[in-house]
Amino acid sequence: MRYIGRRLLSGLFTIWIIMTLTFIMMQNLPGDFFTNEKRLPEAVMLNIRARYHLNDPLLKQYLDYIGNAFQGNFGPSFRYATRSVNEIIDSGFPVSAELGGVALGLALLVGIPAGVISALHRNRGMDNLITFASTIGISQPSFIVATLLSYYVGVKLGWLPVAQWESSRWEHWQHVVMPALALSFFPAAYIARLVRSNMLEVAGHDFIRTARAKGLPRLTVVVKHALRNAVLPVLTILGPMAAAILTGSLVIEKIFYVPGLGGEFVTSILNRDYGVIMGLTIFYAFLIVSFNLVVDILYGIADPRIKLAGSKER
Amino acid sequence: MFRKPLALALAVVVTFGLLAGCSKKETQGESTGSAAKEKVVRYNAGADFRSLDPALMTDLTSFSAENALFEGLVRITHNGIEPGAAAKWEEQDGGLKYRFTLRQGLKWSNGEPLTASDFVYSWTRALDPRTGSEYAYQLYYIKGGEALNSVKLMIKGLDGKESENPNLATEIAEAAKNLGVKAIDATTLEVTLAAPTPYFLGLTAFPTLHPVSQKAVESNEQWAAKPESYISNGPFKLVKWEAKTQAVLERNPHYWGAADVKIDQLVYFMVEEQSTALNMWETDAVDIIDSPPPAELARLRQEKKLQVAPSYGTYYYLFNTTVKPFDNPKVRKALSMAIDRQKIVDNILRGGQKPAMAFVAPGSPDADPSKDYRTVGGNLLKEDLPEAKRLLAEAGYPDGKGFPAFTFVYNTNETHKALAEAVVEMWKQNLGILSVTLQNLEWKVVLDKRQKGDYQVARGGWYGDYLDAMTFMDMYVTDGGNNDVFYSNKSFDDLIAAAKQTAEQKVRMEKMHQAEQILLDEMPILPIYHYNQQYLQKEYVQGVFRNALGIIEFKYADLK
Repeated sequence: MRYIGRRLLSGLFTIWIIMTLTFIMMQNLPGDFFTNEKRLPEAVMLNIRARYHLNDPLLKQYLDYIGNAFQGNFGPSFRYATRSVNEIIDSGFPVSAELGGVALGLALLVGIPAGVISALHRNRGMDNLITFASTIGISQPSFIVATLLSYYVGVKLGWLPVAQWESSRWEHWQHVVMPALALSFFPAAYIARLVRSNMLEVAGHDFIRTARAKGLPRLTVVVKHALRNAVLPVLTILGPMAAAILTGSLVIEKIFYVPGLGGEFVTSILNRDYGVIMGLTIFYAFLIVSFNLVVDILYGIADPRIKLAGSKER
Repeated sequence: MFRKPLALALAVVVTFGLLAGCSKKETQGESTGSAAKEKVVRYNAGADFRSLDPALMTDLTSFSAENALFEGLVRITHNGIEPGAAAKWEEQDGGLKYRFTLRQGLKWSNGEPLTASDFVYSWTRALDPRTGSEYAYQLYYIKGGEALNSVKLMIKGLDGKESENPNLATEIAEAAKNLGVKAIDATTLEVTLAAPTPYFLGLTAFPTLHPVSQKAVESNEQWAAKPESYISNGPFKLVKWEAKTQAVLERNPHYWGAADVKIDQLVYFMVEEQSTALNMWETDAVDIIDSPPPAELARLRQEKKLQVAPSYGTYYYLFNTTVKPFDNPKVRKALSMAIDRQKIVDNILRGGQKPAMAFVAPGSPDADPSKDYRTVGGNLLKEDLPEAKRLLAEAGYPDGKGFPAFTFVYNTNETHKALAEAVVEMWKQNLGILSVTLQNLEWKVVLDKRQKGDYQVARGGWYGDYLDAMTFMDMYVTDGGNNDVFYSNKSFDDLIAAAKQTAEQKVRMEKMHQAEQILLDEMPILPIYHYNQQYLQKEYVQGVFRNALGIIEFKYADLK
C-alpha cells in the first residue's frame, strides 16, 4: 500500500512537470489559434482573445489553468466552438481505446505464439520465416499496411468497408478489423522477437533441463515452465506499449476515418488550440503513469523474485 | 491464478478493450435512409464543423452545413441572387438604405414565427463583442456596425492593469441603438449602410448575416451543439451531430419553400484524409466529395469523373518589399515574367485551374453585371523572357549575377512544394538566379513570419469574402491589416478610397481596374493561378450548386 501511495504521488508530480513544460512550450510557438490569412482588426482581436483570457499575464493563465485542471475541468476548445475539451476526450477516448485494445489483443495473440514457435524451430524454416516477417513488421510505418489493406481489401475486393467507424453493433466489427490489424503489426512483431529471444535464454536454464529429465511432455515444458518466465518482459513493455498504441494511432485513425483521440493530438498543436493541447497532454501523461504503475504491480505479483519496495515479505 | 503473466496481461488488455468498447454510447438508429423511397444525399464535408452557430463559424465546412440549415434575406443559387427570407427589397438613398419586405408566414424549424426583429437581434448579436464572432467584420458595412463590435471588453485601469470594462453593458446598449438596422414591423426590415455598398445584397446570404432564434440562444449557451436545442429557418433541420463522424439533416417542413426541396435527408461525413474519401466514393459509400488527392487528378480527369467549378480565389507569392532586392519593382516584375504559369497548371496542378494573369479572380460582376470583372480587366501581367532578362539587368543583376541569396517560405504541403520547386527552377534556368533556399514551415509559422515581415518571399492564397473585386483590392492599401507585403502607393490608396465612397458601379469598377493596373505594374505580389473547386459527384445526384465562394447549395438537389 505504501508503495502504491508513493508511486501515485510521484506520478502526480510527473504530470505536473509535464503540464508546466507543455504550457511553456505551447506559449512559445509562433502564431496562435486566431492567426489567419484574413487578419482581424486590432480591436476585435483583442476582444476575442479577452474572451478566452488570452490577454491575461501568463502566470495568471497558468495558475487558472492548473486550478481548473485539478477540478477536472480542461476548459474550452478553440477549434470546436461548441465543445469542451472534456467532451472531446469523452467521445474520442473510448474509440481509441477500443481500437488500441483490439490491436494489442491481436498483437499478443499472434506475437506470443509466433515467438514461441520461432524459438522452438530456431534457425530452421519456421524461425526464418517468422523472423523475416517480424523484421518487416518492425520496420514498416503503419500507414503502409493501412493504405494497402484499405485499398486492396476495401476497394479492389470490396470485402470490408473502406473507412468509418459505424457504431451500430451489427456492422461494427467490419469497421474494426482493418484498422486494428494495421495497428497491430508493429506490436506483434516486437512481441514475437522479444518472446523468441527470452525463450531461447530461458531454455538454457537448469530448471528446464530438470523438467525434461523428469520426462514431462514437451508441451508442458514449453508452456508451463519456459513460457511463463519468458513472457515476463512482455509484461514489462506492455505499459509503454499500450500508451504508444494509443498515441500512435493518429495515422490509422486518419486513414480509416476513426473518430478517436490520436488525430486530435496533432491537429490541436497545428491549430494552436491551447485547451486541447494541454488537456490531451495531461490525459496521456496520466494514462502512461497509470499503465506503468499497474504493470509494475502486476509484475511484482507475477514474478515471485521481485519484491516491491516497501511491501511485506511474501 | 495470477501467476500466469501471459494470461494476466491478456486479461488486462482484453478487458480494458472490451470495457472501453461497451461503454461507448450506443447511438440509435442508422444514419443512412432505411426507408426504400427516401432520397438521401451523402456529402463529405472534409472535417468536423467548427460550430453550427452562424455567428461563430469561420470554416467552409461549417458554411456548407449552415447554408442548408439557415436562410438569409437572399439566397445565392444557380439563378444568381434569389429571394430568400425576403420576398422583395428596394434600394433607397442612392444605395445607402435598403428596405426588405419579408415573406408572410415565415417560421422557425420549431414552428414559431420568424419576423424582422429576429434579423435585428441576430445582427446585433453577431456584432456584440461578447459573442466573439470572427466574421463580424462582414457586418461593418452597416452603419454603427464597426463601432458596436469595437466596444472594449477589457480596459486598462490607472495602474496599467487590464480589467473588465465596468461600463460594458451600457456601452454595448448605446452602440446597438445606433446600429443601422430596424424592424419597422413584423415583415419590414430597414437597413442603413455606413457607405454605399453595391455588393451588400449578396452579402446578406453570408452565414454571419443569417437570423438566429433568440429563444434558442438565450435558453442555452450550447444551443448549437445539440439537435434538441437547435432552431433554424432553412430548407433542412439538424437531426443528428456525432463528433468527428457525421451530421444528419432532414427536410424542414416549416420552411416556406419546402415544396421545392426534393431531398429527404442530407448526410455530412467528416473524412479528412483525401485518399480515404476517394476510396469511399469509389466504393459508393459517399455521393459527393471535394478535393480529390492531387496525385489522382490526372487519372480522374481521364476517366471523366472529375468535375470543376470556379472558385473566387487566387494563389500567389508575396515579396517583402521592405528588403533588398525585393524593394525594386524591376526585380519583382522580372521574376514574374520569367514564370510559365500554363506549364505549372498543366503539369503540376492538373486540376483544370487557370493561370492568373492578374490578381482579382474571375467570378464577380463588372459595371455591366452580365460581364465578369476579370474579362473586362483583361491580362495585367505578361510572361516575357527577354523583357524579364532586360529588367533584371537594369536592376543591376545581369544574368542573375550577384543576385543575393534569399529564402522562399511556404507552408508544408505537397502541392506547394512542387509548385515552389518548379518556379525556383524556372528562375534558375531563365534568369540565372541560383541562390534560392526553399523552406517549408507550418502554416501558423508562415503566417506569423508574414505578419512580422520576417521573410523575403512567401506563399499565400486569398479567397474572396463576397463576390466583388473590392475583396481583393482593398488588401493592399497602405497599412492595411492584410498587407503583408508592406506595399504603399498613394495613387492606389486614393483610387480605392474613391471606389469605396460611391455606389455607382461604373465609377467603382473603373477605379478598381486602374488600381489593379498599378498593383500589377509594381508587382508586390506575384499571382500564379486562380483556384477552382474540384469535386467528384455521382451521376444520379442533380441540382447541387456551388457558388464561387465555395458554399454548396443543396436546396434544389435531387436524385435521378
